[in-house]
Formats: sequence, C-alpha cells, structure tokens
Amino acid sequence: MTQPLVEAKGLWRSYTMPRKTLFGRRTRLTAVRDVTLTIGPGETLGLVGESGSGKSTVGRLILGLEAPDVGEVLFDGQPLEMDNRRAWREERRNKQLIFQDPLGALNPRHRVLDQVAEPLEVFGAGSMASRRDKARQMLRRVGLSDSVLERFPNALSGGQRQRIVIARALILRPRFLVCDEPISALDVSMQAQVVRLLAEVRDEFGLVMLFISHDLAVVRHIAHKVAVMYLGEIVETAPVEALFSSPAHPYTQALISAVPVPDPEANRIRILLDGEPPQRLDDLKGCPFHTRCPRRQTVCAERAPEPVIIDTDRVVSCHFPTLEQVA
Amino acid sequence: MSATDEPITLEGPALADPPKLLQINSLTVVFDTETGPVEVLKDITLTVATGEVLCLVGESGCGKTLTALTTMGLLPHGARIVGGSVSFAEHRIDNRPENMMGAIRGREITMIFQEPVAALNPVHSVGSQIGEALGIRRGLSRRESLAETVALLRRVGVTSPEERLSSFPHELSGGIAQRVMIAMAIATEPRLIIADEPTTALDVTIQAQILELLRKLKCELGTALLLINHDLGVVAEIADRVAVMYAGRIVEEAPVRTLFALPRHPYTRALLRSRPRIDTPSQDFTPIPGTAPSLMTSTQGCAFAPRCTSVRPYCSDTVPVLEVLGPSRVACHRVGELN
Repeated sequence: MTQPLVEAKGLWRSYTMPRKTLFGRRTRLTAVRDVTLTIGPGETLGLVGESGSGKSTVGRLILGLEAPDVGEVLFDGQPLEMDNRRAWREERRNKQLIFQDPLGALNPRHRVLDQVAEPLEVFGAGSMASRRDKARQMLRRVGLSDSVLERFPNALSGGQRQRIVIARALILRPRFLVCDEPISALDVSMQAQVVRLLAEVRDEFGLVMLFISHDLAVVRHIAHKVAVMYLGEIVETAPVEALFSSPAHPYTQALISAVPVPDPEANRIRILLDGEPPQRLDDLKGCPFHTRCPRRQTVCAERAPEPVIIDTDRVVSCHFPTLEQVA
Repeated sequence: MSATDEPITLEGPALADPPKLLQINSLTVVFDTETGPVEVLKDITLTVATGEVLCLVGESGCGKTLTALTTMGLLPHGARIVGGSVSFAEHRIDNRPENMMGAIRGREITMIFQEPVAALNPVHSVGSQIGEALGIRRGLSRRESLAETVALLRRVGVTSPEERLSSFPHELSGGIAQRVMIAMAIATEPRLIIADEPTTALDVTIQAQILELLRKLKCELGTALLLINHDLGVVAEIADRVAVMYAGRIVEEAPVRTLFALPRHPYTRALLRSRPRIDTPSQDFTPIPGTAPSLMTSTQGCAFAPRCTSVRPYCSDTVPVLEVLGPSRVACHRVGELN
C-alpha cells in the first residue's frame, strides 16, 4: 500500500468547561476521543456529523493548530513537530485551511490582490511584481474577474469572498487542504458553484483534502471516503458509495434518511431519532449513540463497541451493525 | 398591467372557489431611498387556503421574508405598500392602523423564526413566555395557563415539560428552543402560521423531527402554513403548493407535485438542478451561473435574463407576466416554446 499523506492515530482532545455557578465544579468535555484516520494520495475524506460532534476539532488537530492530549498526527510519514516553531512554519505551506465564514478569514483593510499575494510574501517567494502576477493568475483561475483585484472584501458577495479565500489557500501550492464547512455560509446557488470549483482545483492541483461538512449531499459529490462522527468518535468509515448505498451504523442510517430529497414522490423510509445528542461529559458510558439508538440493547449502555472491519476500507463501531449480504 | 387582469386564484374560475384564508393581491412594496423609491416587491399575488401549506422559495434577498413581514403588517422602516392588498379571512389587513393589527397578529396569524434562541426573550423563562401569550391572548388565569403551557410543551414533543418551565432560552438546544417557539405559535390556536426558515439553523436529525412535528400539528389543528424555505428537499416534504420568487416577483407557482415533475420557468428548472442530491451518486448538478440581483437594483425586462440559459434578446424588453398553464402559473416570455 502506498504511504498515506495524512495519518491520525488515536487522537484525544478534551476541554475544561467554564463553571456553571460561581463555586461550581469545572467539568471536562471530551471533544475528540480516539480518532484514527488516514487520507491517501489524491484522496478526499469527507468528515460528517452534526454540530458539536468534534469535526472541526479533528481538522484543527490534523493541521497542527492544536495539540492532541494523546495520539499523534503524521504528515508524509513524519510526526508533526509542534514545538519546533521554524519546522512547523515551514510545514504550514503544505497545508491550508478554508473555513465557513470568508469575511472573517479576510482582512477588511487589505485589497483583494494584496491578500492573495501575502502568503508568497510571508515565505519570501519572488519579487513583488511576480508575486502580484501569480496572485492575479490564481484569482482568474478561481473565476474572479480583474475588476475585483483592487477592491476590499466587504464590497464583494459571499461567493466572491470564498473564491478569494480559495485563491489565497492555493497560492502556495499546498499538498493538503482542510475545508471546514466551506459553503455553509453561502447562498444556495453560490454553494453549488463553490463545490464545483473545489472539485476542479483539487483535481487540477492534485490536492489531498479533508472536507468537513454537515451537508451529506455535498459530501457524496466531492468525497472519495467518508468518516461519520458522533459525540467525538468516528462511528463509521467507508468508501463514499458504500456508505450511502449500505450504511452499517444505525447513526449513519438515521443521518442519511433524515436528509430531505427534492422529490415529493420519493417514498423513503425515514428513521426518526429520539431526542438530541447528550452533552459529552466524561461520565457517559458505553456506546456514545446508545441514548438515541433505535437498535439499542442492554450491552450498548454498558460497554463501548470496538471498531470492526466489515469490508475493504470499511470500519464500523457498533455492537449490532447492519451487514449487507454480498449477492 | 392593471391589477384587474390578474387571475385571483390558481385553480379554475375565481367564482367557483371558496374565499382563501390569506389573499395577497398585486402587492407592491417600495423602499424609500435617497434617490427615490425603489420597488422591492413587485405585483405579488398569492393565496393560502385553510389548512394548506404554501412554500415560498428562492435565493436569499429575493423578497421571501419581506413578503411574510408585509403580510404580518411588520414592514421594515422605510418600506411602504404602494399597491395591491392583503386580505385575511375576507378582511383587508394591509390598511389597518397599527393598534388594530394586534387583534390578528400573534392571535390569528403567528410566526416562527429561523433562530429560535434569538427570537425568544432571553430574560424570561420558557413558562412565563408561553404563559404570557396565553394570558394576554386567551385571557387564562395563572393557574389555567400553567397547566395549558405544560400541555402545549408536551404536544410539541418537549420531554419532561414541567422541568422546562423554569429554563431560560440560552439553556435550550436549538431543537428544543424551536419546539418552544412552535408551542408559542400554536398557543392562540391561530388559523395561519408564518414560518421563516424554521429548520435552517438545525441539524438534519433535528430538522427531521421538527418537520414531522409541523406536519402533525397541521393535521391535528388544521392550521394553514406559509413556509419560507430555500431547501427544495424540505419543500418537497411538506408543501401542498409552491411559489418561486426571484428578484421581488413570483416567477412560478404550482402544486408541489407539478412543480417538481414539470417545472416550467427556467429559474425553477435551474434551481432544481443546482444542488447536489443525496440520492444520486454522480456529480450530477449544474450550478446557476452568476449571482441573484439585489432587491434594490432595478432591472429591465425579465430579472432572470442575465443568468438564463434559454434567454432571447426580447427577454430584456418587457417584464413577463404570470400566465396560467394547466395547474401552474408561470412568468416567462418563452414559456410556450420551452415545453
């Protein structure tokens, strides 16, 4: 097997919650528990789950923006050197992040062209003229006309701003791109345009991508592999078509069935879950999903399921997974 | 075009139909700007029948929310109605003085918003907010309203409602807060609920629960629903009829099955193809190029023309009017040729 570009091994990360009352006890919330995943060359991994499931934290841990409590992240086989500032900085040019709110990611006082050229300046690449030239080309590549070059971000639409963020992320020719809900803040017609653009530049620049999203339909169209998170744990990992055609974990099944289909004639079976996810405090025992699971048994509340390999590249953490019979 | 040319109802001759619960006729709203008034809602004609779910769809800034606010008599500062009318249960409500609207707004017509936690009053407990609605609007005593509040919360699926009474909005999750909003909205047994993107801020499993609840309440209470949404998946699940808005106009209106099976307007078709779907594996979607125009910019002719793949030069000459086509109403110059 070829060497994966990104490997996360047994990542844990917890945060101390603020006191609820003045002399109250501080509780700890485990945002990520025992997350292991790999992303191979040319691959896009979709990371899905509901808000608070720990998706973004996994993205930040993999980028080295935060250190895990336990576990390690390998990039190209090398562990991330969190303590060596120079090496870490040098490494950063290979990894870029795009997140939800493009306006928050852009500097309101800098012109578009300068912002896109800035990463080149930080890494001291070429003359000012050549940097601006590269930035201009990249902005054209992401579909922006030259009329935006000298403008400020707040004069542009959400879709245009996200294109600028994408151009800036790509200008250093990174190998790995983390997209954290890149289209959630955009209008419907812009969302489709940006998804298309991301898929195009990924193929063109040979990017490895971690695509974090709560939008399963979009993930189905951009990812090769999908990992489903629930309360800080990955409950199922599978190649994209396998996951959508025969989900094994009851949570994955409920999640997929909950997404509305734009077809009034569609006769789909909807699995309605009870209640809402509990707060993941450290006293939750057993399977994280057992409080809402339609298939729960006594064992589910007592013992956490171990990840089981059910097929090629398919791992599921459930005591009673649905196993499709291969015809 | 004068207002009288416009067919009042969708299906068949107007006389054969019973009067609709909500009837918006050729409504035109302008915003007063420094450079003069700008038309933001243009000739909107819509009806909602008793017990019916009408969905209003379109991209942000197309005038969906403004239409809802105008219906409620909650026009934002600087906006005014310059033409047309809004009637509720056969009474004009667009020209009522503010103090008369209280009899309808919050009683006969109630509203649910996108951000439930923000829409609730942060300094009042759940119990006192719902109790207030019950006390003022239905004149119940404290004890009666307490019992009724618990019953309402149970009805909208809040678990252990007695314990929730003393909770404050910030202690609630988005899903519970939206259930509380819905409990308030049904407290007065309204005939129409206007819901503005009620599930957009929620996770999909919670969205599924809330849609199920809205469907259940609609059946049990017979309340009509005017639902604003941009997610065509949600629309397909809950709507009886759909109106598509673009740049302050209705461009197509049809019963839900007709709209999805036989979309007539190029914008509706583009919208249906523009999103990746969960039930198709391929990259089978086509983004709509360009951006939707802002309500504040005035366009010549058909507002969709610059983004339309079926555009002809004459499309930019005149504004297309809604024409009846089978069960649909469509505003497109090329509608006859395109089908």
